[in-house]
Amino acid sequence: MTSSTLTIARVTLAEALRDRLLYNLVVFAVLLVAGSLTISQLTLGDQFRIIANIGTSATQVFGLLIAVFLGVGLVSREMDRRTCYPALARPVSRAGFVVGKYLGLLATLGLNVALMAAATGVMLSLYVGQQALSVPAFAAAFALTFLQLAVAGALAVLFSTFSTATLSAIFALSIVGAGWLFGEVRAFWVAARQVELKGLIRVLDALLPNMSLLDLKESVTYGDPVTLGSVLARAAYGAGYAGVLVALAALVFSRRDVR
Amino acid sequence: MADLAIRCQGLSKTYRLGLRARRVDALQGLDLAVEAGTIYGFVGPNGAGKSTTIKILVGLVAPSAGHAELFGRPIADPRARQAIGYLPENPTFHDFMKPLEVMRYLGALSGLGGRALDRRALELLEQVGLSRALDLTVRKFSKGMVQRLGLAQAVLHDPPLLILDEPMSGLDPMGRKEVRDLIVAQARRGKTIFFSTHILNDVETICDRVGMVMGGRLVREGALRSLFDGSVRAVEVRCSALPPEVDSALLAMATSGSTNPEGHAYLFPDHGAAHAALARVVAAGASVLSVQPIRESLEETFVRLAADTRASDGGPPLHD
Repeated sequence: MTSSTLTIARVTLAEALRDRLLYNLVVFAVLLVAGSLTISQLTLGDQFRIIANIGTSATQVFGLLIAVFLGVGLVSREMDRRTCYPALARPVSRAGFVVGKYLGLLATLGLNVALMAAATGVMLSLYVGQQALSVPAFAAAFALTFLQLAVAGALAVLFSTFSTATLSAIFALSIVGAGWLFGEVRAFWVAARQVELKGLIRVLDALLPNMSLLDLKESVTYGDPVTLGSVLARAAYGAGYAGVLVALAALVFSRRDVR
Repeated sequence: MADLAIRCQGLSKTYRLGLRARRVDALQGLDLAVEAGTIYGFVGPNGAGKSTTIKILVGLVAPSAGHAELFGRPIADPRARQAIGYLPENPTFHDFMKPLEVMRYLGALSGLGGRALDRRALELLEQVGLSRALDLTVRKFSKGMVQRLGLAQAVLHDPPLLILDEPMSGLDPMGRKEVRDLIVAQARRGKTIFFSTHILNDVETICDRVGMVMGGRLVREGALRSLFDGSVRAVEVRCSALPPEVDSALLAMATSGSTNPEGHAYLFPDHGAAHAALARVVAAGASVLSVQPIRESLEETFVRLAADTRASDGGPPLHD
């Protein structure tokens, strides 16, 4: 990785941290987690699980929105505003530019997930008497959530290299949604013995991001055991999937005229 | 052969626009050679292909055909861009940044860093008159201030070649003079300046060579003086104490003539007619006040070629 790529990442992070959208979503998500304390009072005895569930879900949902809406603007906004002109006219490769922008997005998402994890951890610490908090499972769940966001952000960046910001957001959210739902659909099709659909299922299985695989909410909520090997395998899948998307984005952007 | 800062051979660019992928030929086989150390004015009307050429040279747009090099290195090689400083037309920067932050960001992308970068950046910001705006974000800059910042970032890494796209665009007369002075100062330091413009007065003032691009083609190119050689439209002869019969004879030879307080003024179609008239004036014992060849100005050449190109392309004439 070149120093130019890291410079671009640093500026992207600085720009994201000045974005009102980020703050609106983060503040709303933190308020939601804090509000879970009140919501959990409605149920006797399950406060820990409710807070854990709301905390991890809020991190996923708001994180996905941040990843997609910041991600679609990373390249397209630079092109629309022409702020990339003086940068790309320097000895910076297009691939280095896209990777730098993406790394800046990852840093933003990492900060967001860390903040949400801290807020959820503080809330859960009030109820550790009800259920033991497995710190490794908690950390693994938020780490994999970060990778979910990394995949969503990579999708947004990929689409934004050849489409408008609005269409890119629609495409990215649709694929992320399909990736969430596909696990359920596949199970249904397999159970229904739809032999003629097996080919299609295989193709979709390979193409769509398996977001459920990167979801360890249940382990935090219900204390299900998590093995390190399983977490690493899931992480490798998420990182690999995002890596391929960013490589594709770099390839597309390298061939695109900036005008 | 002198070192070439820019060399383009058969450079073409075709854009596909709209849902029907309508074909637009922005450049058609452009050949260009810019010698190192010169100020080269690249002129043409809007849509002629100036910005497309520049964007190809700085790596923003890929050519559809042809080849281009900067100091002998192909433009596809990102290292070729280390040699250029680029000012885009109507430059924009991240508006949340302050000018020094912009310079640090872009300087780092050119391989600069540390105190040396800060020192150089502050020196340049002072030179372009932005030293009092260090605490302002770019969002609060006027158009002229953004243009000055654009110039400062272009020369930040002290590149041997400056590629400036409409550098005087949108500036007031003072701003234009400052930019002209900056270009001349850079040229005196041995830099090559390649700039596009449609303000022809700027070209006549500072350029060594000029290329005129029309309809994606280079229609005229050369040293500024050579563009006017052979383009003498008329020769004006002024004289006094002229007998009436000689005045009548000269009027018959001239395309026009007039009487003024100093004497008479005649416009002859070429040097030959002017010489014959001068012989008559001298033979009559009258005084020759001045002989002035009237050359086609760059602006007139430009307008004529633009009209010719439009006519040959089947488009509407530039002027009625």
